[in-house]
Amino acid sequence: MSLQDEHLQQALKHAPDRELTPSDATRAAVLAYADSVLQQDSKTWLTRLSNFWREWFGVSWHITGIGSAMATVLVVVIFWHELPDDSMRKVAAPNEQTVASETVDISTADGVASYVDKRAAAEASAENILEKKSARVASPRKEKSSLPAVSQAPASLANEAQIATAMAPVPASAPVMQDKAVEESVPAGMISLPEVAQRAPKAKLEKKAISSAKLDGMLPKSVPQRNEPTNLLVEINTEGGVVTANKDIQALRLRLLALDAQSVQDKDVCAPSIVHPAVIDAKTRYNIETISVCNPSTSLLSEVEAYNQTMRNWHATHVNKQHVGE
Amino acid sequence: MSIILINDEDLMHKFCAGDSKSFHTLYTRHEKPLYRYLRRVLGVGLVAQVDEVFQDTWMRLVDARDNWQPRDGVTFKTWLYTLAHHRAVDILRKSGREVSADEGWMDDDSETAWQLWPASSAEQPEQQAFWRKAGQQLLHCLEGLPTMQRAAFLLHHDDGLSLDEMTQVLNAEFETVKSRLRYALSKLRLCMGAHLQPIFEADTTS
Repeated sequence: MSLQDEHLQQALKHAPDRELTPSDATRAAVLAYADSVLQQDSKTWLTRLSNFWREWFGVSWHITGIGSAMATVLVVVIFWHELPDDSMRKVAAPNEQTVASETVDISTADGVASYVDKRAAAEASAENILEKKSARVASPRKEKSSLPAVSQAPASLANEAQIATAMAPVPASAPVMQDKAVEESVPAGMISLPEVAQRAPKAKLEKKAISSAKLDGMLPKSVPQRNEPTNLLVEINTEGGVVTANKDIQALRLRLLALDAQSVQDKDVCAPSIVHPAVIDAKTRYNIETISVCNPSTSLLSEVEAYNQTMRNWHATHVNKQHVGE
Repeated sequence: MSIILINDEDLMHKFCAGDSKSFHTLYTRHEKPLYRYLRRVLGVGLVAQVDEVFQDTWMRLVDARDNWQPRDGVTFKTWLYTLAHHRAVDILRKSGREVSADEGWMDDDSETAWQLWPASSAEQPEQQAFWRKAGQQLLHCLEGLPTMQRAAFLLHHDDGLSLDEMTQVLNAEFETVKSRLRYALSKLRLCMGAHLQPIFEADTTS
């Protein structure tokens, strides 16, 4: 007996259930199930990798990835800011002496001239400190300079300290205030620290103006000293206010003058002296040094006015130039 | 234009690698034959369970895809029908219907009747009508066969499995499969001959 019956096979092919198919829902369920399983497989690979990462490194790989990215950004930012440029090399080349000399430049008027020559500035500042100390020992501090001949030295020191404080940026003023000789010579009417902070940007502009002036060849290698009010008034009277002002500008003694006319009867000794406290000019931010003078002449008043006008002109020219440059 | 058909094993490999389109092709290729097999094995009494068994078979195949490895004598089709058959037998057992009722050998007394049937290749309208009636009668006769004999007959005659492949699907010895097939043929011939011969004679005389 054969195990293959063609007649039954033919009958089977013509059976009415030949074209039966499962329902659409069944078909869709099967295909959707297969697709979902494949999607889970792809997720399973990620899950396995994540578990492996967590097992070895203790944290999720997502967190590790985010942390690595943040660390990379941090390192790049740090190195970006740490990249040296030419200006930093120039600053780094001089050692502490440069810093010291710059401090002296701002704090003492005598050291301004040595702004070009660093070594000379350092020496000048050292000499200046010694002079201040000796002057302090020679003449005790006074609230008011009722004795002009005696208070001349500390008054001038105090005045220059005020200029330095007004011009210097806040950090640069620290060495000045640490110097007890200078600190003690500063009168009670000296401007306060908040005011200094307010003037810091102004002082920065002044410093830049000085630098530009130096480049233009305005500053001499050395500037003669002249601090006494008597000599100042004599010089103004003889050479003229404009010439004197230009000399002070070259020496970076940026100030305005005011004459306090007094009668001869009010004073025992009629000699010019600086009256404290000093006043700050609102426009130029320069100190207005008030000098008490006995019976000033008209020509002296006009020359003083010329002196002040020259100062204001210089301020308007150079400081405004710095503003435009920035 | 030549159409290159990818065999089932390659499609299954692609599906295991994540290609869902391969699975769609496999499903389309085996949807009707498998569904038909399950419907005939389960019979009229469990026709409501066919879709459930059919769907469960495919889902089991998807779940067990990592365990499938083609080897000698085991093709994708064999594996698919093995899963389907086992699931159908489970349903039959749960429903309380008999599964293994191998009866003794029965001589085919109606073999002479088969000689009168038209040729299987005949395409005349009358003959096609005859074969449609024959097919309907055959389904009726299949309902009377024990499950294992019915499965052996269907796998061999409708799905084209060899005896060796049938041993794996039915999980039985070669001789057992062979005897089940003989039982099935003998009973079906007897059943078919008793019902179709009068119709054929009526058709031929008219």
